[in-house]
Amino acid sequence: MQSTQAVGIRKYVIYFLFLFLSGLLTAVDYFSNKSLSNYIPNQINLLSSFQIPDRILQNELINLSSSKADIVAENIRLKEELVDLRLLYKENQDLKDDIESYDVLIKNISDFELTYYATSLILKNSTDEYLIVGGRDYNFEPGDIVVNETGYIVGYLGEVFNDYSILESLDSTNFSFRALDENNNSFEINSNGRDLIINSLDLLNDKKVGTIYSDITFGHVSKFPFLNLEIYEQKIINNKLTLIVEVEEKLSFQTRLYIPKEK
Amino acid sequence: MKILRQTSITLILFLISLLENYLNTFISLNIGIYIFFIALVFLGTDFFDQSNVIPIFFSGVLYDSFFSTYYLGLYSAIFLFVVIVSNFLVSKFTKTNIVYFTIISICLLVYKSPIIFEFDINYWLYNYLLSVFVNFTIYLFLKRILRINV
Repeated sequence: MQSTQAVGIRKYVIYFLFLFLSGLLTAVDYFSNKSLSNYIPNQINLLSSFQIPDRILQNELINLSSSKADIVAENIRLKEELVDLRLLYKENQDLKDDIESYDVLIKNISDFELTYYATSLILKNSTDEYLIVGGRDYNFEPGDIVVNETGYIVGYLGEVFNDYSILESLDSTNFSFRALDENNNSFEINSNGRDLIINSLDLLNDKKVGTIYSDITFGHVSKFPFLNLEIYEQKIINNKLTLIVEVEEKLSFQTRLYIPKEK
Repeated sequence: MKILRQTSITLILFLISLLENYLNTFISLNIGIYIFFIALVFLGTDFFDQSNVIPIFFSGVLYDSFFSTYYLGLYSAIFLFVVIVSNFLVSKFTKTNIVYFTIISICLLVYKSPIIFEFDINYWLYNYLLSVFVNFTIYLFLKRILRINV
């Protein structure tokens, strides 16, 4: 019986030796101001390599301790987050539309030296004038050309206010515009609200007039297409061309508008 | 070969302790699931071997180095003591569930001794009692899995 007990105690001898060693380590660490216990962590970056992915950390199922109050609070937070996400979704969609629109614009313009300020309709006032976003805050000036995403001129700024401007569109009775064709023939364009009345200012030859453009000689910022007259029947009388073109394109809130400005 | 075995056991024990820490970080209930503690009890009750002393000692050193703010060697001593106590009790008494429950209860006291000495009884008692039951259940469950006769 005694020998069995002795065997039983002897098997722990090495354990007690290591227990003693542990105590010794503790004493050394205590007197060395924890330099021993800090040595390994200072040498090895172990725990950073064991970082749990955020995906797992954010898994709410892991949090087993959620009390009812926590769940209610979490629900409220999630609802708020959902609203924020919806707003972000809408903003994201708008930005995507903007990018698409810019892509279309880029394909249709030739002058990349300009800055194109995106704008849109605010409203159509009681006198059927279009109010558009941006005014003096964007350094817009009366007479600045407004183009759509295909790069065609849809009007110019009639009046500019602090944060909005009034657009003289093609269906505005105040619309009056000058343009050049590829043969440097000048044209004056006026509107009666439904039709554009195009008159040539110079003597024309028999050549058919193609697309007419804005031009810096008229104070415009650059050359932008205004209208392709080639598709219309052209009758030149006394070397002068007069053409009446129906205004087909109406502006809407979905219309993407750009105001090109010098950088 | 012996060194490789000892190193492997040390690393496995350290990984289990790491896992235990992560597990108890996630569980904010007032219980602790101490898988490393259960592993130590297994080493004491079912796999007691004098050659395990070095892996247990070094896993304690690593534990002290990375996870504890106490002086180096404290957890080594605790781990070794848990193994000694569990083996002593299982050797002294018949292997019944009550004995195992007693082993878990006493060894968990040893395992949590830094907290027990540092905080008052209200802080740790409830957690301790719940943890004893939870970890005892896990211990029995693992015993069944390992096909060890209780």
